[in-house]
Amino acid sequence: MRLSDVQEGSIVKVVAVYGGKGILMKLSSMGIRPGDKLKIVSKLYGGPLIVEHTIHGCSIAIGRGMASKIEVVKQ
Amino acid sequence: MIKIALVGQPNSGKSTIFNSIAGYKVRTGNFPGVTVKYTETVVRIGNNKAKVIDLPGIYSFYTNEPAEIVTKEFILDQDIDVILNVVDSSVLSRSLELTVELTEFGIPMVIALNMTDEANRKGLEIDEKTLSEIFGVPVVKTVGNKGIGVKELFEMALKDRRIPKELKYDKDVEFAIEDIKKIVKDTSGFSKRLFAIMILQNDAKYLSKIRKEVYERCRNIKKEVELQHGKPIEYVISSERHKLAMSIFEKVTKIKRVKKELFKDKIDRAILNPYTGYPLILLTFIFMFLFAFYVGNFLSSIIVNPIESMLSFEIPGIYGEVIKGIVDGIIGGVGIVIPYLIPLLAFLGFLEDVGYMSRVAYLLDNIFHKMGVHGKFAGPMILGYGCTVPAIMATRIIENPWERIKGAILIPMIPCSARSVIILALVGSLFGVKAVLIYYAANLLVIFFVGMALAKTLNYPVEGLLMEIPELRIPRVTVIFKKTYLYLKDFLTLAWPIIIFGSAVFSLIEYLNITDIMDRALSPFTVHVLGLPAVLGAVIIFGILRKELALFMIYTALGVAINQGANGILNILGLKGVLAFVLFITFYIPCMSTIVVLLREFGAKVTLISIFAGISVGTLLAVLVRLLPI
Repeated sequence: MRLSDVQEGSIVKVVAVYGGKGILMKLSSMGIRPGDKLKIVSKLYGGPLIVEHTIHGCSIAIGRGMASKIEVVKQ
Repeated sequence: MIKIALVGQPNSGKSTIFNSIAGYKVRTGNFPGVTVKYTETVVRIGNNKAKVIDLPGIYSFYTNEPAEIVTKEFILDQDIDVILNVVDSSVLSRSLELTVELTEFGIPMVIALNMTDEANRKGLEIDEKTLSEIFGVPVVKTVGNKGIGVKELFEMALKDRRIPKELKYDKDVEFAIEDIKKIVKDTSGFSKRLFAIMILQNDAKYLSKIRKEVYERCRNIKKEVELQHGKPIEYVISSERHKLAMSIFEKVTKIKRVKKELFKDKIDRAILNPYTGYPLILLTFIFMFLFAFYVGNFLSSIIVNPIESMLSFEIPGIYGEVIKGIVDGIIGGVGIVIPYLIPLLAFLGFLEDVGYMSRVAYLLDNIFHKMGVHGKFAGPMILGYGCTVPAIMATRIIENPWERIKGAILIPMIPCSARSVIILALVGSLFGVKAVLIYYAANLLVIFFVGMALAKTLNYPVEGLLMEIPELRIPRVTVIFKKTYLYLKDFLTLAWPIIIFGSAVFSLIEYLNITDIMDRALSPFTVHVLGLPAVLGAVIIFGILRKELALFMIYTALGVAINQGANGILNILGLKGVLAFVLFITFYIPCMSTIVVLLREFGAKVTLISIFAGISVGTLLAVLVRLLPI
């Protein structure tokens, strides 16, 4: 499933990032890489969400478009 | 003189450390990406002098964003003596990836473990001795906003400059680095390892330095690595840094049991929850306007009015008129700055420092997307209620040039303090506070529709929101105070001189009595399109020089005594006339200072488009008001 389909409160593991090298590099530079676990701390109706990286401890807001390019599995 | 460069991830507290050593020169904020250009200053550390440079915050050097390129070129071309790597200890594992990347440069380094108090609160205990051994450079624990450890940090940068140890990556990456080192002969003065890594991660600048056949051979080496890993080469290398950073992180930290949910986490949840978050935004902004309305009017009555009456004098002759204009301009500036601009900027500075603005950006992202911009736009837009000049400058935090252009068009439509003075004086005193709030809401709605129309015309893919949400913090009063001053500086150095100049020109023209000519020239537009008396022609033209000048001028032009107040204006113009006038003045053209800053930041074309958009919207609204059945 995609990150954009995940509900608030759940913890997911990033499996892959689609949409080209640019997005993959941008996300990984901010600390989000395939294999990482994220907690969805906030999600707005039909829009962006905030994930908290379970190891780094940083919170990152991700727009819906970008979230729909991140493949995740529920933990 | 020794050159010290501050490098670190966004929001790691670089600028705070810089300010703490250099006095207050950089704008800091609890908002990622506040430093867009670098700032340098000479500071005295003990008995020595050093040049300290604050570079933009970057997550890494490999995504090729402008800030990364600026930082990289600066470090490599400017003979930096020591890199001061500022690390946010509370997100140590991620921050170390940049530290690892910085070691590749082969430049002496000192690591500042900043925000250690925040890390402790999160239950992270960091062993700085081991960290120092692993990197082979000094490590100093700091709490930048309290000034803890900052002096020691800079002393260390002066007396203990060591080149970091060479960290080794995975075998196949190291092989590739070695292979490239063998075939590249001329590294134009850079270390062979750095040069090879740059080639390996496709750095455009370094690729352009090698000959074609070398380029081909390097490409084959890269292809092989990509085949082995099944990932783009840049990602393979960054993953290596990530692995190293994680293993270092595990060696140097102990994770204690984290305390139960803190009070600020509860507040954070309420801010981010849509049911409480949106009402909170609304309340915050209503509060902001009421604050400006009451505090502004109060300050205006006790400070500005006495000064005005004290300085009203008559000097005969043309020079007297010019001097009078200049004095008017100075007082006019004070009349905006002290009562309206300072309280508003201080309040915004507070919101930014707490970390609220980035959360507002997140909450409003959906709505902003309809205008083809993303949530980060909220910051500059809100700043626009203070003064358009710093707001336009603040659009620098937006990476996409198309989005910035939208800022150039939309931000001048937000009523700044000067225009708020008109709105408060006319709409406010005639119809009360509620009407003012409705006016502001309607104004926002219009901007929203213009934004949507722009999204349809300037149809480019909107970059998705990707923004760090910093921890909520209690800001320090001194920091807010100084930050207000920095925003104010944009106004004082750019807008104020133009206001003074505008006033002088206005006095002169009034003295020469050529306003009639302007009235007549503009009368087809003023009378037939806007439905206003022809005598307001000159008022409209002078509004460009100084928006709030239009308020004083309208009394003179209509022959209404100031002590009659807004009712005198209402009697002559009627309800529709007053509304049409206020709307047109709010939207029609950015003031002279804004035009100057637009020209400087965007060039002539965008400036003209912005002016054209303003006039069109202002005219359209005035005409609509005329057609209203009231």
